[in-house]
Amino acid sequence: MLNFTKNIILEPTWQKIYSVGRVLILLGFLSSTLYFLKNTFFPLEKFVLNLKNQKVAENLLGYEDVSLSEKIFSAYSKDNFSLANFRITTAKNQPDLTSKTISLRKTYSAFAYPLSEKKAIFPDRTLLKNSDQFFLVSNGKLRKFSSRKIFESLGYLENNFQEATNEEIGSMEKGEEIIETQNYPDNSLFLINDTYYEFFNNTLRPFASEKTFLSHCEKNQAIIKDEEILGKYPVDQDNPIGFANGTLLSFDIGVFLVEDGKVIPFNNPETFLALGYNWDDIIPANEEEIGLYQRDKVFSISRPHPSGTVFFDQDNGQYYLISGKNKQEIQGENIKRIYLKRKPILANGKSLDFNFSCALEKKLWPFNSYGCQLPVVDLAKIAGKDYQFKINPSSNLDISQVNIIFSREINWLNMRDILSDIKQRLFDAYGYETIN
Amino acid sequence: MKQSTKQQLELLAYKLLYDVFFLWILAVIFLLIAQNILPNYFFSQISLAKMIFGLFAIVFLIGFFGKRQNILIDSNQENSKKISKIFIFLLILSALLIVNSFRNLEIHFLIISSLSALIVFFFFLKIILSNQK
Repeated sequence: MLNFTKNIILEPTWQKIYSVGRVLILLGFLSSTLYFLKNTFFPLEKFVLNLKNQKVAENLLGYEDVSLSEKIFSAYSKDNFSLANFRITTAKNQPDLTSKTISLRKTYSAFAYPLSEKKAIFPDRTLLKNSDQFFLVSNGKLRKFSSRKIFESLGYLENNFQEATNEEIGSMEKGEEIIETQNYPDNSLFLINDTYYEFFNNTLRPFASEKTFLSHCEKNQAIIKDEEILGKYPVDQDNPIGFANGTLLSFDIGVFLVEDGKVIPFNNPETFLALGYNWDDIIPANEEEIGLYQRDKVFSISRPHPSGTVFFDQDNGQYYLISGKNKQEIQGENIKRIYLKRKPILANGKSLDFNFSCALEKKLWPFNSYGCQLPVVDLAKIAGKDYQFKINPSSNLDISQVNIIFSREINWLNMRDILSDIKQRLFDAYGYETIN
Repeated sequence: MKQSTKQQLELLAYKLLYDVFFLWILAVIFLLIAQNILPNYFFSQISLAKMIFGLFAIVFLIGFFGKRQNILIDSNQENSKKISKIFIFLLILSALLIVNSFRNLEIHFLIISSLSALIVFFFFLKIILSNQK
């Protein structure tokens, strides 16, 4: 090491102390460097839930009291790890948790919603044909045109309708037949002077743009009309129809998700990718289109996928639609085609099982704490961002704190992932295309 | 404590602090380069503000002990040559870091701002050199 103070001479004894001191400083520097590099390349990810005092510096754990005897703690991360350390601290005088099992699964929390008995149906506005029968999906019900004459006199052409199988038609609730030629049924679509409109409650509601229309429907679903019809029905210009739920939009440098009349900005690209979204599905929006919506709080990694999301279960080849806090099976090729306008989120049916477990052991410190360690290397193959830990205490349990620490082993496989991450960051920073 | 022991102790502290200062500077330079090349990758684990604060603390202690022991920074010819080499190295390094951080700017803006910076730098050097003469 360079000596910048060689002109300052110490007495021999002190010079020896100085030499030892220099070696110690160098060793300290080297070990700090190694510690820093280890923490940079193999960082720990810490999550905490403090039920007595919510002020915590680490990431917050999600907590769900499923029942008196089942509690789920969720940690959220896009990364893969080698080990998960689970520690639970209870209040005083609580039942002993030694040997209680902690089970773990990695999934998407929305994909883990209960399966609804209802199947996904054709959305409103869809025009369907089945042999010589023609239908419109209106207010969630299937309304049949009583005859070909009726739909022809309303202005529809046969190519406005898409094919549906007997099963798909049979799975839908039937509504009133369409027998009138004077009035249009609700959810009819028109194209008037390059603007798309929806007819609903005897009012015409415009779509904000062609892009917003195409996020819901296909071009051929609208009947081309002239301006005359605008004088016949009131037009609700103040409430134009925006993008469909679940649409991904970009505006300026932000990416947004449309959900129930709001746009939710993603907090960072990592969250976007952790949720399994695809960059190709983003629609560039203009100021007017974005201005239709209120901005919601940022979309962070802990938030579940919204209604309208479609998951593809890679293990059984089935598609599911998220509707509220349920998931509905999407059956039928024609229904699938409608919902698969955007790429589905890839998930694994097997990820719903709590396949990993460990038995809790009493810890010396802190008091009333129990912990165990789970090897989680195999979870890397499973799609998801939610690491859900389940505990089944036999009775009501007063929990003070839960800590989960994820760590990575220092090995070649993890090092390769890190190098690949660095390479990707370099590519991103220096303007190259995203690599896969 | 004897006066000579106290003096030796302070000199020892001064010399050791100087070594810590050198390593500390090295770490800050490495981190700045790393941050410039890979933004937000390395500083997620460490705080630059704390490192700079630490650097100031070390400089303060070096100054404190130096003053107590009447140590002057050696300005003989050999050292000043070494310092000017380090200065040039740091200057080139800073220029490279600045150029790298400008990489995402629009080319027209980049040309104008680089030319302006070069003109300012030219006159700045001219003033320094004329003062030295």
